[in-house]
Amino acid sequence: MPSSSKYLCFLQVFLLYSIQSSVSMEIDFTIEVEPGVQDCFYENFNASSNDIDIEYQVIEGGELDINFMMQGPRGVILASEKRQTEGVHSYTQQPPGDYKFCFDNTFSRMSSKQVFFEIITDSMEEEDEWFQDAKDDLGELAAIVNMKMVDFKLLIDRVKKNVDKSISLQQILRVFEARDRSIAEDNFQRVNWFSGVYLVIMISVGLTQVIMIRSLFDDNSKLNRIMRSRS
Amino acid sequence: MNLHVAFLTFSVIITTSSALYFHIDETEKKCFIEEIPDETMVVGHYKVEVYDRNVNDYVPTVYGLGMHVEIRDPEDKVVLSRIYAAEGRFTFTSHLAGEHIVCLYSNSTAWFSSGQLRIHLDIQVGEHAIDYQQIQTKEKLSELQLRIRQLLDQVEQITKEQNYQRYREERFRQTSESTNQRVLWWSIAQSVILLITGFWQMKHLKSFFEAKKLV
Repeated sequence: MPSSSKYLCFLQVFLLYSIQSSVSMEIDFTIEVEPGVQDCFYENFNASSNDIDIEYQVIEGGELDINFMMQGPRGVILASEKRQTEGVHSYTQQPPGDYKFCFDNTFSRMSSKQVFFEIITDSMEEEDEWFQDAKDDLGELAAIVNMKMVDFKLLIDRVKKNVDKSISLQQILRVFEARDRSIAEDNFQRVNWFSGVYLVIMISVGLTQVIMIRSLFDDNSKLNRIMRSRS
Repeated sequence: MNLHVAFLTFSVIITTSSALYFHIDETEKKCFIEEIPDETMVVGHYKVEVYDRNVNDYVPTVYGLGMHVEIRDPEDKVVLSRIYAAEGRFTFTSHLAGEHIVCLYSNSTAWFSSGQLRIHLDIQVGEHAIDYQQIQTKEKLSELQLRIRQLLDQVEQITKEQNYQRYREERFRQTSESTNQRVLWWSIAQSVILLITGFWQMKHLKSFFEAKKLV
């Protein structure tokens, strides 16, 4: 084999290996589950041993509760929760295969639920590859900044880790805030609606009382005849 | 040589596509909500497979089945509405901060659904959506510069999200304060109305009984 294609073969194998060994994945979606409907999602995990984290929260709708079910390959039920507002599940060393996550709103007849869910699989450290490629630049930079190459790499890695943490924390806070805001807006609507209803009820009860009492003493009114025939 | 390159790129695509999948009917519409700040790029990849009863499994579509992708912004205005092929990629940049709704449905013209579709979907938002390989070749950045560029983009995304969070918290606070005020005013108003109704009833009945000469 000519050397260029031998090199390409090696590169292919190396690339395949390096990509498959760094299976880091974060999937998040916000869905609206209609009343009386079950929404299911499937995910295929390839590696021989997977660490799976799933987290879900009901953001809006009704009593903010939903049924959750998680099923592994070969139909093994890993989690089943009824009418929870939120849930966090962590599994380590799971076999490869298709995993099923279901959000069930069948118990509700009127309110559709807005659910946020996030699936995270553990990441292998693929970050060190960039260091190998960047060695020349780092050497040049180290001369200017007067820092050792290794220290600079550690600095950048720390910054990246902190930034990643900030982003995921921001997302969690965003979802919590969305849920609180939807509760506050619900309260607002409820206060408005019921105040109007009570006003109407009060005034109509007042009028009804006066009319009833008048008709008790008014001999030729319709109500009087009805009340007399009853007694 | 070309075959090697093709296989390489093909394998990269296969092993890095880590999408969730779900089943829908041919005529069903499936929507996802993305709450994002403004000027944020969103990229979505999807792949459609059809259930083949002969094989009893899902196979890639061969005939002209396409997916209609519809994206609405927080003001319910359609931002993107296009038909893509059975496997495609859609992208849009938000101009308003808020809840954008991404809907997918097939362009099948059947009146009632006869087949099940399996859709693989992956939606990336913000800095996850940026294709750094492309930026590296376009701006000719070295590995270190690319790395720092990634960090800068991520921090910018955090700043945008924080601004949006501040705006949402303000709206939340306004709603709460307005509810608080309304509860107070409605309680006072209801007490006043109760008292007025009581007085009116007494006055009216008193004059009624006096007219009837019962008092």
